[in-house]
Amino acid sequence: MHGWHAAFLGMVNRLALNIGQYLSEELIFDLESERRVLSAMLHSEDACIEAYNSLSTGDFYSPKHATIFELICGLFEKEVRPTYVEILKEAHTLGLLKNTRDIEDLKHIAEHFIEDENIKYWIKRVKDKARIRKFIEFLKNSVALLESQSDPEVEQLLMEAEEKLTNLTALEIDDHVDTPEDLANLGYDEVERRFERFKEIQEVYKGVIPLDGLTTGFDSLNRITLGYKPGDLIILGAQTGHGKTAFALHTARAVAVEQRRNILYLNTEMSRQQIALRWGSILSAVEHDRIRTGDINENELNVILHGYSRLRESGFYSYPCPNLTPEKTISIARKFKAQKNIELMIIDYIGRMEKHDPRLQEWQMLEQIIKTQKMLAQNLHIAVMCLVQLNPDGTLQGAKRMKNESDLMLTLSRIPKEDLAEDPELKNLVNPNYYISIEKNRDGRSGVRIAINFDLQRQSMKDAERR
Amino acid sequence: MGNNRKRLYDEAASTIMDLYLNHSIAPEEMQFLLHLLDGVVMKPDQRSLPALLKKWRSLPDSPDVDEIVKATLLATDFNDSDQLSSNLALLEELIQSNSK
Repeated sequence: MHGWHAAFLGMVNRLALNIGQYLSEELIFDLESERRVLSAMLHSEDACIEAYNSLSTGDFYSPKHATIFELICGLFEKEVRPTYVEILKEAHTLGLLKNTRDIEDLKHIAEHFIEDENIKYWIKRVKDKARIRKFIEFLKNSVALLESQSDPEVEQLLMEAEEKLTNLTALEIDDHVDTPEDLANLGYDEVERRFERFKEIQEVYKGVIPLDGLTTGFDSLNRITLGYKPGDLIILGAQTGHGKTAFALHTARAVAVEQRRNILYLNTEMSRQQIALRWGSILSAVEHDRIRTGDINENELNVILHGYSRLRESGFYSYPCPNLTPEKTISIARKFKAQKNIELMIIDYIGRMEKHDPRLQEWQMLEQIIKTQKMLAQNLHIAVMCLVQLNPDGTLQGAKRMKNESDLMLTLSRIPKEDLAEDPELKNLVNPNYYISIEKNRDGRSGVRIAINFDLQRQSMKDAERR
Repeated sequence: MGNNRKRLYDEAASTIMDLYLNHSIAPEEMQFLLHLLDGVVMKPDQRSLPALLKKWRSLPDSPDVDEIVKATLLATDFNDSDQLSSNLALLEELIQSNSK
């Protein structure tokens, strides 16, 4: 070995040994921030939701803090409010409290209370330290690799290092770059799955296509869209008084009552009582006005009560919120995803959401809301349906931008009298009165109109059947 | 929650746990006291237990009643809301009959 090479390796060795020592403790961990995040989780549900979605146990330097984080998340998922007492009980059950010192540690954490609005700052600090530690690990491994190879393939070495470093700079866990191989494998799997499914459709389902996602509540719309899929943003536009809420609750009935899948319904306009009364009509087919006034007979009362027993067994979670903001939708959706594993969120409707920046124009605000909801659908792997209001002339403010963001854009409108009088297709249907128009469909046909029957009084919708 | 209230809550919870670890109280006593503390400070919707205890303390001394109340409360599973409400109703009845 040449003298200079030995000297270089010696230097590399010293560097590898000292990487950790050269760095101050403050650089690689921050126990104060960890304690503050945990403490905030013990005191505020919003902080709990934020930390639950942003951090993992691996982000905590202290093993004790990682365990407490796990305990808090476990309670949160079980819908138990993670108070200091609940953590003590849980830790005791799991045999984690052995002596007074353990309790002192927990108490020390509970005392580091921070205000809700600061939680993102402390979470970022915890996350940043975790990334620094990963970077140090990368440096150590790189030095060890250099040391182990006397004549390394430099190009290869640098390429591998670059890939590892790139992974470190990815901020979110789900940031992922597909290699050509990844993409080819994915394509192969998808085509094979669809090929197998097609065979199954022919043999088992006798030609009826099973859905890829949640039912839309309309057979004709199911056939075209194959259902609402995780990650989909669905926009439904209608004029005032033309069935936005009825459409939302029709979807809710199909998904949450008929299929018992969990969904979250956010309503910005109606009270709890109004929503509950609507369900009475939807599930009993008794006119809404008569239910509201109480003008019903004994028999109808029994039918309505039976309807509510179906609602009780369903997966419908409702959150009336007149001052809904985009931030609030994120927080509430994350909570219900973690605790109820919701598969669909319906926002009825986004025009009534509060402006978070008063300087924005109406269309700019709607665009931002829609973008947020698309991101939410993808991150939480749920379908999100946003209801929007059409102008009196049937157009939609900021329609082009909304269309760009959405996966499926539908409008609901009354069928014009001329169409009913002249269209031979419509004449073959039983009482068609509304169109669902598919303005955009990322995965299939668009520009299609589906004729339906909408019974405003009974709040029911269905495909218009053939005569 | 105010700072003083929070400090009291933290201190009280830690003390209860310390008492248990030092074998001064039994596990079921520890569970009961923690539940009571959470009910009083953190969950204002669960006020029925503290209210019942207040009524009990205002009774004239009766070792028999004390024994029944303590045994019933310590045997209650506080995570089982049905059992909790039926046991509280029984104790309410007992306290009512002894307060006459």
